[in-house]
Amino acid sequence: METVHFRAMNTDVLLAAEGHPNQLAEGFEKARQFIEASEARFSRFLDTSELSALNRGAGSWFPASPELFTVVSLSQQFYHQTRGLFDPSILPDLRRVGYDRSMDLLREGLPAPLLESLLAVHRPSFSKMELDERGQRILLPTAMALDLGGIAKGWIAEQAALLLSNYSPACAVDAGGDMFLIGLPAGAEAWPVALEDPLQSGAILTTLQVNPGAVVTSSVTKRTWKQGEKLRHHLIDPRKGEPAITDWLCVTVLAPHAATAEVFAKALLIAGPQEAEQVRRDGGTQFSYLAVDRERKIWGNQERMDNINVRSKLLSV
Amino acid sequence: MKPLKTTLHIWIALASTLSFLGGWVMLAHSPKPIQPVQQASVVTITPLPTLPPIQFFNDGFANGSIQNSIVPNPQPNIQPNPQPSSGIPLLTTRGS
Repeated sequence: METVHFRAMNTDVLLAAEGHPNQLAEGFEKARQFIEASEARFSRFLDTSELSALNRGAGSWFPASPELFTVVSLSQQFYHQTRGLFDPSILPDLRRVGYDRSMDLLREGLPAPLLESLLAVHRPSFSKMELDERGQRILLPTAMALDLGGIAKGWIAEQAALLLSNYSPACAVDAGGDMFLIGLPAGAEAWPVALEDPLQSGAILTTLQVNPGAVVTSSVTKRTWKQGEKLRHHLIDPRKGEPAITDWLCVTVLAPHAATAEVFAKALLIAGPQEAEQVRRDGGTQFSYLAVDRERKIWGNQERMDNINVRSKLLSV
Repeated sequence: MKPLKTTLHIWIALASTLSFLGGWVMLAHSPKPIQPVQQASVVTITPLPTLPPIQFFNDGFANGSIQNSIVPNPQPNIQPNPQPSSGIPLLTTRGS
């Protein structure tokens, strides 16, 4: 199996595929170009990105590309499915707590002062956003700004894998741990996917054997920074506008689509053990999840635990 | 003298009210204290006492089915980064 590594979307990207080397080279190049073009479209850290233009244009209808319209539409759908636990309009809160530049830069420099974090930001409800499906236009209410970071990364990984699959029967795209797998490697019954210890970078808790689809982990221990003396992380609880206080350190979701996995990994991490099953039931889509707590115990959804070897219907997003 | 007294009363009342409201707003928007971890109090979710090798098998999402198999392991299972076998890269999911 051939692999290509490069850096994009402020994370390490791995492309892996089986097939004829010449075909793979072209497939890798196409996938890489797509990822880089998508980063330029969806990054909130680039003034020239389409997302930045959308945010600047809040208050008036914005003609969107099919890609941006698709991801924003998915976001609206997931906002309702998670009853607001997934909410891309938390960007003003994310900036307020210091995540106002890319993580690479944030770790080098000083984030916004702590005093700013005391000042609440008024932001309109994401439910107020309007979509014009026929005209592919988006209307953000004034003062709304979107961060599509996670969901866009998952969607990009899946689309890049689909591109790569035109050149390979078995391929994978891993974007900083958010991955989409197509086919199975020759002679293998599943893809080996290691689950990293959220408390010790580089150490592996266990290895999952995963069939084609999406695997996404959301964590509160990876994208962290200091704001004054306070340790902050990137997972904002939309109900409070503050970094979520979570019982779990990370949640891994296996789902048919990367956007689904990305969204529910975040929602379950915010919801925690008390509400996780409710979130899963309300979501109206089936997926499996694992959560790791501070004692490195692994939790999972009861239904899967009780129904080992029982097949269940998967609903597509 | 009386107008001065009345003005003073109003000023004290207003200052107190505004200070109270100001303090309320500050506290309402200040970061919440970290709460203690709560666990094992929920019956709907099973904490696995181990770190098992967990297998998620299905026939592919294309046919709309999923099956998984969980093998309990009584030993802690924190492993060094294992080497991939048979040329398949070991993908690692770590959160973002």
